[in-house]
Amino acid sequence: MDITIKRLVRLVKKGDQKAFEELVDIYKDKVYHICYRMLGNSHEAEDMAQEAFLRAYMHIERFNEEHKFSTWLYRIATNLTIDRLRKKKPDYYLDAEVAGSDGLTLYSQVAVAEQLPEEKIETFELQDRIQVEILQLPPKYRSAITLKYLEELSLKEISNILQIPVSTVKTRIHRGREALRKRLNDLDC
Amino acid sequence: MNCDQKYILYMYNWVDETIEPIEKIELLQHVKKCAGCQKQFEEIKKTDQLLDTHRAIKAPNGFTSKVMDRLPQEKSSTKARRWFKSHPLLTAAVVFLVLMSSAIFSEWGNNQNNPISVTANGAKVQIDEEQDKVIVPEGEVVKGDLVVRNGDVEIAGKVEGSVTVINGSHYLASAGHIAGDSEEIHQVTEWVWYKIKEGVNTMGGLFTSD
Repeated sequence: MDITIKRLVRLVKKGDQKAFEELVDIYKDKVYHICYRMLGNSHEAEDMAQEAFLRAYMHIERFNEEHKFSTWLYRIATNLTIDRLRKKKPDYYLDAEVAGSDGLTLYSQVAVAEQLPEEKIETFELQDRIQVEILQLPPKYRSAITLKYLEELSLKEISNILQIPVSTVKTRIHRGREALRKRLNDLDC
Repeated sequence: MNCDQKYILYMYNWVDETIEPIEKIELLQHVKKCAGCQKQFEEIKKTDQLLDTHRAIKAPNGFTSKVMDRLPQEKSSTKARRWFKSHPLLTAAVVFLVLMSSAIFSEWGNNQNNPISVTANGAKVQIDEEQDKVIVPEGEVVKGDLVVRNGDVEIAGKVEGSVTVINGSHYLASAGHIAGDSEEIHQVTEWVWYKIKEGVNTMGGLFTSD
């Protein structure tokens, strides 16, 4: 795996787009995941994920091959989404939460033509629910939690991505999870 | 609920699978006795499960091609290099053909511009530069092959070997005689064929002379 990635990165540095396409295929779900969790909107998430890959391609020369490519790529994605959140003007999307509606989105106000199977609704709702709660967290907790659950990332790797000490990562994950736990269970009552 | 804060830490270590066996026992024992911590433990496990659904989030269809469309144009040299790398045998063949054909074409091209040239094994033949013509006069005998380039040849005498005319034609006068084969070469393809035959003959000559 790591050897393949290294080989691909080397080819990309020589300008090989085919190799870059392979990298996109390998990491697209992970990068999209980060963007979706951070922004909570699939259109924006796709946009930012594409942007992250474009930046990675344009600045591939700056990537130090002694480090992990995924760390570098995830850092680009997290930084982009954090910047985006800072600049964000109020936008209206179907899957954005309706203010004061306790997690209701505009989707719920659009007639659904096709009835979804029972199970699908359940997972969809759970997904939506956790996403809504994640979006309530401050971005710094959001990023730590997202990376923690992205894949088997160690605390050290998360600290490298976010460029903060491991102890801070630990605190943010802990506080983030505690906040989520409380919110998820408060709503149950 | 005034329990030791360490239990909450243990609970998170549990879901992260980083809990020590001794802590595990301690936690389970405490949770049995304490309803508040038990509830919290359940909540922590549930939250963890909800968060651990990353496999469900996938990039939309066509994501890769959209990214690729937005990339700046690749240099054509890189494309060629990648092609050569993925087709080593074809690359070798292309290199061979390019070298071969350039050698052959340059020789062929030279033939067309160069003045008439004759290889006649020392026989006294006449060269008519104005008409680009070689004449083997009557009574003259070429003891071996006659090769004429960039001109015609008129044979009134005798040729004991073969006659090859490259980029020209040959006329055999009524009194003339060719003992071997006679050949006219006009096309590049024929020229290539001639070079190959020549090569084989030379090699054959090498083997027989040994």
